[in-house]
Amino acid sequence: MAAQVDFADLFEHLKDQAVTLASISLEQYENEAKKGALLFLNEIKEKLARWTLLLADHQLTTDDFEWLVNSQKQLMEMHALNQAGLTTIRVEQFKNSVLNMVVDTVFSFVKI
Amino acid sequence: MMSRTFVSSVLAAIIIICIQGCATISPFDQYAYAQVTAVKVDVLELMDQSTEPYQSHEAEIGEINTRLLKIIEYEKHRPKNGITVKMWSKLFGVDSAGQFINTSIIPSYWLKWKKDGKERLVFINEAKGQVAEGFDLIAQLEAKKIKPADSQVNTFLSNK
Repeated sequence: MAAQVDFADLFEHLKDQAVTLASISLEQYENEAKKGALLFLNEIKEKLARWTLLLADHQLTTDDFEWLVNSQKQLMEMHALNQAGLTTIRVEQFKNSVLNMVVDTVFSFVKI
Repeated sequence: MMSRTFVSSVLAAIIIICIQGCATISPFDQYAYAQVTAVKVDVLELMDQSTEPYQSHEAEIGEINTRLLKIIEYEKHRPKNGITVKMWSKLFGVDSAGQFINTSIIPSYWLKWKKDGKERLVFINEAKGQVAEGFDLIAQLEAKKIKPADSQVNTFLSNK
């Protein structure tokens, strides 16, 4: 006789675990994203201050300064794209975690 | 209550559908990662040479541009790789007619070098930092992409 599984119980268990997984993943990602954003802003501030001093000191020309500022604009856009990519990867990782959790939970319920 | 066989079959079907249909970004590509990290070194080394006249390095600039174009062409043909392709367009932009986008970082550096003849060390060092950061952002995103093998799910699927 095939082993019976209480599907309602299994589903409740899966739901609880999925919610826990979501809140842990989201919290971790939010903290990382905030830290990353602050670090990036500080770096921009330092660079601009340094370039301004070098310009005032005639170690950079105005063309040099303009190139650097333009390159920073491009980098800011790259950072935003990078963040968007990391978010997408995080969603993929979360989906994989849920799938792995489903497999583990079903194995433990049906004792395969 | 449901039988073990029925539950396993339903779950296997869900997992197969999810794996095949759900990816929204390309997986990690070792070749792409190796290319971006290698070409970064060569671009920075060539920027070091910009204390010398542009004309004496025109051939090397042409070679590096060709390498970069090949890398970007490879990236464009990877499925679900739009974000990386857009990042490349900021670092080394090429329009649909094959012309360099002069506001993008590397082409604008070569243009400046050509216009100025030579660059000063202070500027070169600051510019190298910017270019390196651009490459690092692309490499970092690639490194964080999911590796193609997911061991637990594959194990489940292969166990009948």
